[in-house]
Amino acid sequence: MRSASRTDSNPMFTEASGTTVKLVILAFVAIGLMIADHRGDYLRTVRGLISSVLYPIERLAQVPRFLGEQVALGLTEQRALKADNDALRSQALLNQAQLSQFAGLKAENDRLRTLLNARKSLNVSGQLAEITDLDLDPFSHRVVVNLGSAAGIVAGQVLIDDQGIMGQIDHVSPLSSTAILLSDPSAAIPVELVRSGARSVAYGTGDLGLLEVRNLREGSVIPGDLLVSSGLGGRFPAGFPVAVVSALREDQRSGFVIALARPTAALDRSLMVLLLKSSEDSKK
Amino acid sequence: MSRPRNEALVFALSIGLALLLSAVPVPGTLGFFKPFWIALIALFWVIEAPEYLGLGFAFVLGITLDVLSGTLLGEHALRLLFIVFIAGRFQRRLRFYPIWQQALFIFVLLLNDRLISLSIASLSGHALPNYRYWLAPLVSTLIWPWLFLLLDSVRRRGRQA
Repeated sequence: MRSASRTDSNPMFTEASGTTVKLVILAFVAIGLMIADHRGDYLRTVRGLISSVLYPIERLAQVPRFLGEQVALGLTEQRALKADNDALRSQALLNQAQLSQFAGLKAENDRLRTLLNARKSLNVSGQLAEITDLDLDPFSHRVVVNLGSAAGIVAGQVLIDDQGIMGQIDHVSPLSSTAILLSDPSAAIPVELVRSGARSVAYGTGDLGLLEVRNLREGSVIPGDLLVSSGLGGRFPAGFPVAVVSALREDQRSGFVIALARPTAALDRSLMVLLLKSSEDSKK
Repeated sequence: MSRPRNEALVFALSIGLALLLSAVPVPGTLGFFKPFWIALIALFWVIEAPEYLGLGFAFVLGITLDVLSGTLLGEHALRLLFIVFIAGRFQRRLRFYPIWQQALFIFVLLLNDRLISLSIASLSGHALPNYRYWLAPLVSTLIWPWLFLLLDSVRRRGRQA
C-alpha cells in the first residue's frame, strides 16, 4: 500500500506540473486574444461567427422578459387600457400639432439654407431594433440589438430612443450588433447648450445617469439646461437631445466649470430603439 | 453503464443553464449584483467531479462568455482559467470542507477574480469602478451553498437512476 501510494504520487506530481504548463499556455493565448481584440479589428469575424452559433442561447435568454411582458399584459385591466388609450390619443394630437408647426419651420429652414447655398439638412431615417441584452459591466456600458449586418447595419450608426441619443453601434455581427452607450466611460459626444449656444463634449462616467461636460465657461450653464448633439466631428447627427444639466462643479485647476448631466434617453429601460442611417449611407 | 451518461447529461445541462443565466438581461443597477454563474457551476464540477472540467474547457467557456456579453475576447477566459486552476489545486481539501468553509474559499477566489478583472480593465484604459463592483462576489458566495446542495442532489439522483 505504502509503496503503491508513493509510486502514485509521482505521476500525480507530473500531472500537476502538466496542468501548470497548460495554464501558462492558455493564459498567454487569452492575453494575446485580448491584446488583438483591444488593438484592432482582427477578431471581428471570429466574434461574429461564435455569436451566430450562440444565437439560440441569446434568444432563449429573452424568454423570461417576454413572459414577464405577457403576464403584465394579461394583468392590465380593460379600464387601464382605455385610460392609456385616451392619454395616448390626446398625446398624439398634441404631437401632430407640434409636428405641423415643425413642418412649417422646416420649410422655412430649407428655404434659408438654399439661400445660404448650404448643404441640405439631413433627413432622419432609420430602422427599428430591439435591445436583446444589456451589459452593465462597470467598465463598459453596452447593449446588444437584434439587427446585424444581415439587416444592413454598419458600425458607427447612432442609436436613439424617443427621448434622445442612446449610443453608437460598435461591433456588427451577422444577426446582432453591439452598441456603446453614452454612459460608457470611453464614450464622448460633442454637445451644444441650447440656451447659451456654448459647445463642449459630454463624456460617459460609467454611471448610467451621469455624463460629464467639461471646459464650460462660468455663467454659460445653469442646472436644467438642455444639451443637444452639436454634430461637430460628424459622428453624431446634430440637434438630438443628449442630456439635461443636473449639477455644476468648479474645476479648481483650469478655472472652468464641469457640468454633470443626466441623459434624456432611458439608457437602461428602453427596449425599442431606432438605428439612424447616417447621412453618407443614405446618399449611397 | 448508464451512470456516467446520466451524470454527463447533468453536467451538460448545468453548463447550458449557467450560460443562459449569464445571458439573461438584468434591469439597470441590478446588473451589478449578477452572480458569476459560470464560475459557480464550474467550481461545483471542479470540486465534485474534476474529470469533467479541465483548463481547456474553462478556456472555451470563457471565450463563449466573452462573445455573449461583449467583453474583450479572452477576458472571461483568463479569469475562468485562474478560478479553475486554483480550485483544482485545492480540490482534494475543498471536497471535504463543510459548505460554509467552501463558501469562504469561493469568496476569496472571487475577490481574487475581481482583482484580475480590475487589472485587465486598468490595462485597457477603463475608469476605476465604484464600491458596487465588489458586491457581486458577495452575492455569488451567498448563492453557493444553495447551488451546491441543489446540484449535488440532482447529480446523486442522476447516478441512482
